[in-house]
Amino acid sequence: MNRFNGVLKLHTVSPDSKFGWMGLPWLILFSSFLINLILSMLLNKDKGLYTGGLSSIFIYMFIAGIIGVNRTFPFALGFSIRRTDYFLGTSVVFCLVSLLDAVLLYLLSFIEFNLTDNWGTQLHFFHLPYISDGNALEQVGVYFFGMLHLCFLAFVITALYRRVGMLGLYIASGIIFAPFSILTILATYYNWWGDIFNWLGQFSAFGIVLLLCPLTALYALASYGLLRKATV
Amino acid sequence: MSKVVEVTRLTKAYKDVKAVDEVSFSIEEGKIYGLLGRNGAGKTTIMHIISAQLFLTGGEVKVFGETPFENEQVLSQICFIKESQKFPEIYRVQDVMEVAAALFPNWDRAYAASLIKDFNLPPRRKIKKLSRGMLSSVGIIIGLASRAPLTIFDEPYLGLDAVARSLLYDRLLEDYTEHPRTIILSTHLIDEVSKLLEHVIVIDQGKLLIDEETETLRGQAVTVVGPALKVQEFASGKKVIHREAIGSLASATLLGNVGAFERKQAQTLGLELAPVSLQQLIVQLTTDKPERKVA
Repeated sequence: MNRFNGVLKLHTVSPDSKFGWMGLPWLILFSSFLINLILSMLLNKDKGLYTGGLSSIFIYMFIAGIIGVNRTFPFALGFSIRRTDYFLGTSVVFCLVSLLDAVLLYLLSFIEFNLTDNWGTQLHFFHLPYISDGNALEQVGVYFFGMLHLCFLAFVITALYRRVGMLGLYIASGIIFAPFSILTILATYYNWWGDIFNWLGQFSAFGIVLLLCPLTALYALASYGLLRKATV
Repeated sequence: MSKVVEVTRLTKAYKDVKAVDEVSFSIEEGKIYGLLGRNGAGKTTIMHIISAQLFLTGGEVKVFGETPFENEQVLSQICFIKESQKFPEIYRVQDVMEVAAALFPNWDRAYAASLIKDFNLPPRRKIKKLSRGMLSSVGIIIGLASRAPLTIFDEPYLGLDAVARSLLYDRLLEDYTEHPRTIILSTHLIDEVSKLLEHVIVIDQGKLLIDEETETLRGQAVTVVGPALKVQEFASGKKVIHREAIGSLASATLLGNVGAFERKQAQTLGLELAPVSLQQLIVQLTTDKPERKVA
């Protein structure tokens, strides 16, 4: 248990790492929000302004995951931390950050849609159609599971890199992407896309992120397996 | 005395290169060991395997009687400070100490703080902005203040000046006396630490060359200096590990105990006998030569 706490500390001890997890992503998101807010003031209010600025925080978390793991794993091994403890501690950090971000995003979405009438400028930044369908819990769930998925995607990519190195990472991505490319070509050739989108369309945003969960779990398991065999 | 580390026929192979080749030795509790050898001899690899950071390809390693891999009981007792240790760059010195305090059960906060003062480290400075010597000091402080039952220093002095190095040796000896533990020192500066070392293990080209008490080792070699012919006469039939000649004078380093008889013989031949320092001995034993086996 002692060591597990050590891993939590590992990720959060310095002011810079705290800023990296909670400060910088929000700074990026808010600057995107600010620019869009100014734009929405200048633009025609009847149409409203819909933006994808919200995605910036998700993209950032993916990158933060890669940087965070790559930076701390060799250090953790050097400080005789068990790989298992490193995996568990890091997973908990991912969960906590995702949960906190999800709740904050939901609150902002609530302020935008319910309290400020889209900031008075018809800006749709946090509360988006489809994404923000469903009740409060479902909305938080969309953000949480979506972000968690990206965090563990980052984890598994970094774990793979630590295990097999850069060349291995290239080869593995080739192996993983090749079937996808073939499937894409087949889907286009046989006109499957309509059916695929129809099938996906029946799910709500929350339904989609629930579909991602088994994938997230798979990433987590793979990360653990790879880390157990990773060296400095 | 119980054994802290037991290495049996340890082998680490990379494709067709054997970095470590069937090395066996054991480390006893409460002693200071020197793990010596040239660059690329396989020392760091062995220490990485002991601390479960690398995987072995053959043989067996037991630390505190158990396999170290993913073993909390074992790993929490090891502190391994290596020259190549990467600290997250965004950490400040005090952040590294904070993490160490959370990880090492015997961590002594007050001692760490006093060491930070001794080594003149700015606690709030970021790792990224530390000089090479300061970075080494961070490692050394962790190695000392963690008071881990098995503390391993792998060339911890890079970039440190002579003053800081002697500070390291002083503190190490002081703290070792007060809090006995097992220490493995891997270093090239053998002369500097030869007084600290109680036991020496020398690895050469992945193989175990020497595993001997320092005292025994010191008495194992002697250098004779004198006229070339006389030196040759004295050395005949003995194991010569090194020869040097300057004009008509020559010196030869001989392996094996020099008893009273030999001393007398040297005296009558007009030869001088000089002790061989640990460093000289190891340098000469690990210099590339076809035959250099020691019993």
